[in-house]
Amino acid sequence: MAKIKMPKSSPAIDMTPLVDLGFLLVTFFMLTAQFRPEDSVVVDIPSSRSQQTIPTENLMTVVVDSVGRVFWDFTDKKVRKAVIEEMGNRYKVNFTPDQVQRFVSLGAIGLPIQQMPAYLDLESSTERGPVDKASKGIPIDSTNNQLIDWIRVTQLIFSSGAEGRNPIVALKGDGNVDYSVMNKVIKIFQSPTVKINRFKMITNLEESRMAVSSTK
Amino acid sequence: MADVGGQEGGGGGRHQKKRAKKGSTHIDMTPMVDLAFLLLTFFILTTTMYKPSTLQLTFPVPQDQQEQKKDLAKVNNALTLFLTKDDQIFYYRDAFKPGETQLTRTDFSKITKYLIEQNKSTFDQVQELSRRYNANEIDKVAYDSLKNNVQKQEEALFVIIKPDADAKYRNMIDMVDEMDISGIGKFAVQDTIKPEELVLLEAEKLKF
Repeated sequence: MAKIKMPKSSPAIDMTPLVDLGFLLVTFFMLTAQFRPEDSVVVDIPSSRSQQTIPTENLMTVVVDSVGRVFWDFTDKKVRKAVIEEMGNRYKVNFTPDQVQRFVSLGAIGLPIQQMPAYLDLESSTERGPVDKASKGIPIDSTNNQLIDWIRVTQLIFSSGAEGRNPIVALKGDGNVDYSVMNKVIKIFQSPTVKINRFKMITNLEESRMAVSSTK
Repeated sequence: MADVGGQEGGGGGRHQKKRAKKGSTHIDMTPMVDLAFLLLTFFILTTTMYKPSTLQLTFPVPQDQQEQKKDLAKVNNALTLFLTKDDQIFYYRDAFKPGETQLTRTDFSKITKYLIEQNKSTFDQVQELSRRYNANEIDKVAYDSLKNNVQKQEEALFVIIKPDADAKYRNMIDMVDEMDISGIGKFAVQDTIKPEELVLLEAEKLKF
């Protein structure tokens, strides 16, 4: 009796391409992911139906948190560096290169300029945390309006750069802050020195409302 | 069976070749695949998309504002909305007539319906335009300019939003968003509440 010999193939599959693919995807996602800069302020932004997305560069953001403290932020590192140096000049506050470097790597910042050097000496976010909490934000009183200088300096530096135009301005306010505080900031935007009459208000995309309005 | 190994006793081991054991070059990749996909899944699941949207708002240039303030409520088909505490809204139609004008109270759940009612013809035209845009009958540029024309026409509702001292920022954003929902292109956010308006508003607020 002649037996037909079945070729005994191994049940193992070559997994190598699968591994390649897996790690390729892991690498891709890790490299393309952008880390959010650490926030010194938590803001609960209101939601809207608008689908216009926010630009990721050339954007100056003025943040107002739930108790009405004002923060300043800019997306581009080069501009940040020039701005802090110019602000130092204007207010006669000296910054060491290390402090400038730290300022550049931080996100939104809200302190009177006089307290800035001490704040920028703090190494870690755990050390900065209590200072952030105790801070009163950038002063916006008519007697000591530092916000207008931040905006003005940003505009000057940005428009003297390669772009030659004004930065995009966004207002990021906590939904629960009193409108009167926001109004103060908007009034500063409109003041003759900075003349910002068009700006964006940052909101979350509201899913539920979209569903409601599309069924109407 | 025929095991020709070195264990065969002591003597015959002279010509024994030390043969390198030919191990398989295949490594079992399965755990590695598991790991790779585990990481992949982990990163995908823990990543949160952070993409806030924005509302564009244009304020009148301050020089024109003085003129505009006088005229705004006298514009045809004006609706003045006061935003105040506890998400309440008070409104009146057209120009302010002392002694005659009464404020009506509403809130955010009812305002959309009211605005659409008041702005019916414009709203329908905007809806029609967006239907045509979605059906690819017109392109984005045409849609934007047509929509703009419709919203700027004479009979379109003109809304003046006045948040008072007790209003929250969220109220203002919600209201600006309502403008978009009900297809209103003509609206202004103002912080000046006239004294006569304020008297009415304060009286109404006390009732609730």
